[in-house]
Amino acid sequence: MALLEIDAVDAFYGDFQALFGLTLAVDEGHAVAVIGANGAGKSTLLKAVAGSVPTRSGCVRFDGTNLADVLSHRRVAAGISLVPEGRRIFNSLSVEENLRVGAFCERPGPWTLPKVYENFPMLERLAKRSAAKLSGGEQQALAIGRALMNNPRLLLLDEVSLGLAPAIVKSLYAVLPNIRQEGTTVLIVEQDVNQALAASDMAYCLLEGKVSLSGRASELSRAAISAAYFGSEVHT
Amino acid sequence: MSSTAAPAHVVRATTTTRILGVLAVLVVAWMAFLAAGDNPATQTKIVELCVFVVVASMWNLLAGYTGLVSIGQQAFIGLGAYALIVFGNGYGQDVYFSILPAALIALVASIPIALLAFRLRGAYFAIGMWVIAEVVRLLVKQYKAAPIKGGSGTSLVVPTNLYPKAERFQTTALIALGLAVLAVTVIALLLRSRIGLSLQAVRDNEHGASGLGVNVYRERFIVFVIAAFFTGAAGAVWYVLKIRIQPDTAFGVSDWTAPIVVMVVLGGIGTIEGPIIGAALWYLVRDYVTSTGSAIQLSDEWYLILTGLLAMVVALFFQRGLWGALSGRFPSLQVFPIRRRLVVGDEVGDHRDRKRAT
Amino acid sequence: MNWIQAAISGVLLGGLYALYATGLSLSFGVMRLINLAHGDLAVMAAFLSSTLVLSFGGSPFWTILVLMPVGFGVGVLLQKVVFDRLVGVDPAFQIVATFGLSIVIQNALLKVYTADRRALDIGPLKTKAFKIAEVSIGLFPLLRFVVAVLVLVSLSLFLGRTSTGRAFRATSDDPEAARLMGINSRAIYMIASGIAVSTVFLAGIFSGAQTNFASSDGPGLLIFAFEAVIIGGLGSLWGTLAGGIALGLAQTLGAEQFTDWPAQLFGHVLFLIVLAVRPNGLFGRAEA
Ligand SMILES: Nc1ncnc2c1ncn2[C@@H]1O[C@H](COP(=O)(O)OP(=O)(O)OP(=O)(O)O)[C@@H](O)[C@H]1O
Ligand SMILES: [Mg+2]
Repeated sequence: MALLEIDAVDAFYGDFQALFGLTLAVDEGHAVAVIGANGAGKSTLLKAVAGSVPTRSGCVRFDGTNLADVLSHRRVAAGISLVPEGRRIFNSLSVEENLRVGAFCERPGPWTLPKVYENFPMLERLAKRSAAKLSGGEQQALAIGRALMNNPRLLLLDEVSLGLAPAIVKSLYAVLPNIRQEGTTVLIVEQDVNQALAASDMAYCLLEGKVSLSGRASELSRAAISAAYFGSEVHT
Repeated sequence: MSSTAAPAHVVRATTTTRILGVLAVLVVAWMAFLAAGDNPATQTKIVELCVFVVVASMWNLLAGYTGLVSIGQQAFIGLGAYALIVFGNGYGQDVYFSILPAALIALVASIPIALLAFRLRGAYFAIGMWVIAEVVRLLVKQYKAAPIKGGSGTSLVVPTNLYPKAERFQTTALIALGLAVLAVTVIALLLRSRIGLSLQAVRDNEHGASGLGVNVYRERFIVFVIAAFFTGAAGAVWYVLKIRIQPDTAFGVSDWTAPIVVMVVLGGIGTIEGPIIGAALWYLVRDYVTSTGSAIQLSDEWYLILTGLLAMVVALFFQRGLWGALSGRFPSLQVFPIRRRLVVGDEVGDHRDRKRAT
Repeated sequence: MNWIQAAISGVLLGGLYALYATGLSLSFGVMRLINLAHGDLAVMAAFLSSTLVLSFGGSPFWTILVLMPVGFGVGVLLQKVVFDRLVGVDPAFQIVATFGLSIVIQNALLKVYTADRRALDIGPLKTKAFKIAEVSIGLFPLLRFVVAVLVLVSLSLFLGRTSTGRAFRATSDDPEAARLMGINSRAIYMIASGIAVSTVFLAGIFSGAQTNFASSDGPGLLIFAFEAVIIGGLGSLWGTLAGGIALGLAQTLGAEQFTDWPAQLFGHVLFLIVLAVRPNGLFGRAEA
């Protein structure tokens, strides 16, 4: 049984439908990439799993339990952590306080303050600094560290690379093996297709709220991806 | 995708709007007829209703279209009223010809008030305005000399040889009605103007519109000053009828802003029609429940408790108000065609009902 | 010497204003909500205390032990029934709904307790004072000040040092992101309202012990609380204390100089000056 099963889910913003019968599964211990163009519904998918966007039909199961009636803060306690798009750091808290808030549910596990600092050394130096004063890369590291403090079973990463220099993106992705080593399952949303495929076992491509392609990350062809990415009428 | 074939155009007036417009004109004509009559009780009601329509409409213009929710509009009521006293009693001017300058005083005062209060936002603006109204009230109370006579208040001197009582009621009722019609017309025109359109764009999408370079501060300022002018005029008209004035009631939050807020949310905030309907309904209900001999006669306390509960219930569960709910149900229902509807095709009507081939 | 006397009573009065303002500042900080019935809740507490004293005897002080938890409960209840629906909505509806609540409380108090003014009798403590060189310091105002400072200190320790306190600040920054950390924002809001109402209950009982009160006093108290918050600057409890003291000083010193003017006018004037010169308050963060 997969750790996360998304089965024919429709998701809406008010009257606007963003996901159409989306189906996807993530096995425990795997890293799965979700790619797709702007507005394809990638973030919506992650928010539907985290519980910040309601689903109307279909179902999201985590470790076999239906999440339909589980509020978003309870999903965190169950072990689902989202690193949201735009990082959403708490600006009036210090770096260390941000990390401590991440551990609000006090889930036991390998991730502790020292271990996060070990993986993101720049955060340790900035520990007492106001999080608002961090650079984009430092904020992204903080957002990931904060999510890890929950010791999640499932980590959802939304566009970690957004607006960051390639070297910084590389250093952030370098931590991914350490995260996976602890048995954490990862769902990676990326616009940077190469980055996403390199970091994952399975990949799904979304187009207009539906899965347009899926397969093993190493076996997907360029042509198939670009067709699935832009819609089939585009031929290049 | 396929709408290219049908030309799109913008429509404001619909048949329903025209019918409702005719109805509105008839109601005004009927009220004018009553105002010109000789029943002082009716004339008093007309003045009260019209004054509240003016003040409620202005409050709604601020709260519903510009996001300026004020609990201090009684400042302008009192300023208009006391300016009237100063012109009339102090300088011996004609009471009716003092209404316009009194309103102008309220307008002038609103400029520094806006400069200060606009530094606050949201609920803080609301209470900040309340503090400002309190300051004005305390200052007026402190002025113990004639013609204001401090906290004990005074009475407007209306020379009875010039204006006998019956004539005063009649003239005041006509002026109040005229003022209400003027105020609502000004609001409708304002909302159709460039200022109104940018304000509504901001209201509907604060970030989007300010991203489009809409200078909201200036628009809000203009609207605030206009509201002060009309609110001041309404205050002056009220006391031409009531004669007796005291700072605690002229600047009283429970005398003015409290009922106004209830009227506006009840009728429907952010619609032109809402405050008018709210004010009318308020008057009918209040008359009914507080007059001796009616089936449900309420004590003042119960009446106010129910008023407060009503305000809460409407604000919590029924935010669109009566008119908002009605016009949501029947989109073509509008007396004042300010919302523009984009119509696709060559027909005037609800384009959503039309089936189009794709 | 009169000036020093006035200044001292101004500072001590300021502690009370800060206590009034604490809850207002907290609710606004955490959920961007202003409860216009805040002052009426204080008056309600004073009346409830007088009822308890009339029924069971003793000094009003023991009623604090009962009424502060009751206040917490009232806050939680109000949050569930009323305020939860107002978080994040157009401020117009927040204002209308809590204004309605204010009208309801005022008139319910009027109905139950009539329009007469009442006082809470704290016996000889009310007039006890000690002298330091010609200046006399009232024991009760001093006690009230110390309690107010203690409340503020413990609240700021709570917010600064505890896990729940961090959750408060995180929720205040970004409620959606806070939920993604497993924080139940609705529970946070309930605690915030509970603290807000129980502190304003305390303030109401304290001020009822000093000066008599009537059902219509609430709006005036709300304005004082509001002025203390704005003068001190949003988002800072110490700012709120400073704001309360500044407000108290303005009132007593103003009244000392201009004896036939109402004291609250000078507080209003200080408020307007601060607004004109330092719109973020004396200690406010620039964002406001
Ligand atoms: N809060 C919202 N309200 C309304 N519509 C939204 C909202 N958020 C997203 N949408 C819409 O839902 C659709 C899917 O959005 P989503 O954010 O999931 O896309 P995405 O694949 O993450 O894109 P991006 O690469 O730009 O982050 C888009 O059409 C978007 O406009
Ligand atoms: Mg996205």
